[in-house]
Amino acid sequence: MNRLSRTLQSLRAHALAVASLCVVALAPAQGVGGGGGGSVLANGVLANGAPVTFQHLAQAPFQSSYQATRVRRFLGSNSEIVQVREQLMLQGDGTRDSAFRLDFLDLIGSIPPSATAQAVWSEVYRNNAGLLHMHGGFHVTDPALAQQNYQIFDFGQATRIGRGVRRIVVFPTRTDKGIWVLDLDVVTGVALYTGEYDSQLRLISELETTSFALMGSAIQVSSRGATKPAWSWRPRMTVSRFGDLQSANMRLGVFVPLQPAIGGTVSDYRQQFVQVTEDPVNGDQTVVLGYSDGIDEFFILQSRSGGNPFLDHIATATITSSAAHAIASYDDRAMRAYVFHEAGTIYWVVGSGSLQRLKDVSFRLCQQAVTGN
Amino acid sequence: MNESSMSAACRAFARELAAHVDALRQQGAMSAHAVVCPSCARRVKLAAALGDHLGGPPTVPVELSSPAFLASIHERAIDTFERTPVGVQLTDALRVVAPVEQLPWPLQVAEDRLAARLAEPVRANPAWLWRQARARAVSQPQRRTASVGMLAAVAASVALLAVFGWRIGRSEGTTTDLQIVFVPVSELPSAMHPTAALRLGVVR
Repeated sequence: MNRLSRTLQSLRAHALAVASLCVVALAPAQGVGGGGGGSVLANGVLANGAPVTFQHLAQAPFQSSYQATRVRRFLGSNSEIVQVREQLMLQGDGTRDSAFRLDFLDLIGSIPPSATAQAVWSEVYRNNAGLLHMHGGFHVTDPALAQQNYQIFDFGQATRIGRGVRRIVVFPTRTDKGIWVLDLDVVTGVALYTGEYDSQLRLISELETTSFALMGSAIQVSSRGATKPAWSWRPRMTVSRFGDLQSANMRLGVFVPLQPAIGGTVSDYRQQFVQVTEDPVNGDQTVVLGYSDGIDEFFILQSRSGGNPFLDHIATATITSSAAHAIASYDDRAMRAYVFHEAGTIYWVVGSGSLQRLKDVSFRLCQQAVTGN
Repeated sequence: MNESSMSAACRAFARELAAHVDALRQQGAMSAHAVVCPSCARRVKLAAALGDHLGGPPTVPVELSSPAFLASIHERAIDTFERTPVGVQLTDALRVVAPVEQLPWPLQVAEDRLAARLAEPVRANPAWLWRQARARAVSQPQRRTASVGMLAAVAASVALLAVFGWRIGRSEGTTTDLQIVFVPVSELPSAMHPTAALRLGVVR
């Protein structure tokens, strides 16, 4: 128990250090700006100063309809900070499937981007808006699971872009995950600032809102389940979600994906979704299994391939026997990926850079793919 | 964050900052604009302080000159290098493989790397030894029994190999007969991850 209290004290000290870091960097705390009127939330949790819960963090981003201009900062390949300005429009219907649109505006830097760079970025956003919106940044995918794996530290009220915010730190119970600093708008509960730090308090990513405008003031019940508006983003690929892998198998034909037996390695994660992505051009299918601990996510992808793409690339010097199986591994502070090929299927294990256990996950998956158990 | 807005007077002051710093050092007094403008007063004091710090080489901490500190830097560099693709390949290339005759039985059996050594001509023994062995073999009345015993020994060794297996040149990633090797790659693969998607836009 003494050891547990020491650990929790150390975690709290860590969280305070992160918050101190952010107080210096972010807007100074002032009186609560409020937002005029009451919160659009049922009980106006944030405006009344009541504790912030994971349930609230999961629901708030999809309760309101708003338009926000944001600066997204992330780590480039050489650990340099890259800044992109984007615009998010969201029509909240209370669910994660709320209609949205995420557009690239411009690249922030000392040198104005060329027309080519602008076109490339626009294409990246057009193709990956869903990935960025649903999986980039802070999201609570499972409040109950998040409650088990994280703690919320409340650092009181502040002001951002003229709006009152509640500043909180979401701290993981394990050190191989990111630490999140959030500024939550007291009126809508939407995060106007999210910053992700690794266990050594180094910045991994940021999403800073520079302008925020509500569109409508309440959830339109009639909008739930309605066809999405014409302006909302649609994926280029055909995406189908299933409750489990058995249901997805019916969509896949002869391709039978593996059900990963990785629970022992990542016991704090649960499978959150099963998705089949189909390329309309060539019909290639990919099975995507999403795992989450309530906030952090990693993905296991499986897709059919014609042959082993690594035959000519992986150094054979490290393989001492023709019976060896190679896993290509990449990792940096922001992300890590493990890729291998077995029996005509390419397997990917992809997640955040902090989660070193993904190496064990990929090893176990490869073992399973080769031996069948 | 809000952009700072400087007046024309402040901009003019900043353009001549070096001269104002010199004047502060020599005369000990602020220029007229700095007296009325707190921002510019702070600016000139900061510049003067920084100039003092940058004027000469910093004092080297005593710890940096200790051999133990240098050794720890070397160790860290070597540890880091060992994990790079070049380091992994060097480790493999420099791995010492014992000659066949020095390996304990039953490791003295063919593995790819050792097969070449087995094919090498056996070191020459004296001719009289071969003559003696041949004569003895020809005159042995229980030669048939001896050969059966030899076959039994070979069969037992094969059985032992099948049961226990052998490991030579173990690779990272597995300790079982199933060899799984992690091969680090330096280029980010096109993966389903927000960071990977965003890096697609970084035009080099």
